[in-house]
Amino acid sequence: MGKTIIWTSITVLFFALIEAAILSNLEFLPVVPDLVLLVVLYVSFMNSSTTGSTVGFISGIFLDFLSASPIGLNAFTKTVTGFIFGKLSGSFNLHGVVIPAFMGGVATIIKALLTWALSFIFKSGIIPYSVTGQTFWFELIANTICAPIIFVILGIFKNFFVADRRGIE
Amino acid sequence: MMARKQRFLFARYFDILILTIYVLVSCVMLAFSSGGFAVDFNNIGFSLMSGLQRGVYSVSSFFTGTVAAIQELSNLKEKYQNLELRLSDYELLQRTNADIRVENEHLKELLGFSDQLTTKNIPAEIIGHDPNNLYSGITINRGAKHGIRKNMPVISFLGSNTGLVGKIVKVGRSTSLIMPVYDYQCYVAVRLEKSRYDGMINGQGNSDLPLVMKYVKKRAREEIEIGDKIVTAGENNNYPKNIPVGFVSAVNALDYETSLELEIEPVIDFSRLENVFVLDMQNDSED
Repeated sequence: MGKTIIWTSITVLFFALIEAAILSNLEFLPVVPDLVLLVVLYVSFMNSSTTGSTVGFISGIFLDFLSASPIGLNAFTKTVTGFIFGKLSGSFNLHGVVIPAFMGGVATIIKALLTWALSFIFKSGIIPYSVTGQTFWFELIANTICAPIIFVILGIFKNFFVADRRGIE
Repeated sequence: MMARKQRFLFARYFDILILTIYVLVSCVMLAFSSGGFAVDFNNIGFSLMSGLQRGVYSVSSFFTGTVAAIQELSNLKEKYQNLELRLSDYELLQRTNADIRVENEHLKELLGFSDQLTTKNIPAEIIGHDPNNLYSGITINRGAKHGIRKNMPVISFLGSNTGLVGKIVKVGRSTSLIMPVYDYQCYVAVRLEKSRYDGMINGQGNSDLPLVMKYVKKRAREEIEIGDKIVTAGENNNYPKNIPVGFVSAVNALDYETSLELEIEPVIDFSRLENVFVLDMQNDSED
């Protein structure tokens, strides 16, 4: 598990920096796809809920430092998302496009719901997604499209991200 | 037997224990960052991460610069060949001359603006934006070591106009984060330049959407015209007085409301923003 967490931490750091320094500067993108969330999703699903919540927490902290959001917001949402998808580990076959895309979409909805719930608990500084706003829908579409691509890329380096196969494939 | 049962239960619920710890830590950090705490974890982390962000930006700038240089080199080669063939043709030379003049004027303009400002200022370049789609933070390449502090106002220039960009919300060692005026959480005390009515301006989270000016007295309705300029009120010394923020683009007067709501088009085109000036009002007043 240690090796998986170290490699995933390096990967999410890389993706977080790509999001903050490159993708966010591209004017033609209406939103920045949450690539870090997709990495957490893959690693959680391919390992366990303990690994999922740990990599979720680490990746969330990285994003919190780079964002104007209150620190702990991304850590919370990604920890819980990692835990949920870790619990589902091995329930589906990740080959193909449909399941990864579906997972990317569901993870975005979970993230939006968690942010919405937190906005009630911590009033100051937490902005919830608006179902009628463009941001949520664009991000949902972007994450759904990017999930199969990210899963394929991470699948090439599976040895770094999977500690225990346990007959997942 | 009992010890084995306890070990079994611990192993069975280990993941829930880990989840609980992480969630608690996240909540504690959230509570601290929204309520204020002596140890600012946010700024420590921001310093580390934004330093790396700056590194990635530099690397990507290097590569884009290299690609541009190669492209430029190939363009130059083409131009050189053309010049060899048409030595007598001065048209190209004139065009290049004009480009240099435009660039020179642009640089002079920037330098001039920096000199024109009466308040002590720190020029900075934008190196990144918020990775979280709900927040609009803008990262600049100047930080604490350049004299930047939290809550300093940030302005920029568009053509010959000055405009308010926002304020500093996080300061790292060599980078800082600006909260722009169009952010959901940014509130600025402003007034109508002509009629002098006060109000509060707030963003809608997106640079493409107009700003909203609230709490304008209803009796001001007759004196407000589309295109009226909105400037900072300068209350509480958070922002300098009379910095342009935008122009009135719509007036909404609802019967059941006691005040007017104005839609404001920002002076600054945030999609073209590259350079900003951070104002050091504290040092300025001391001087």
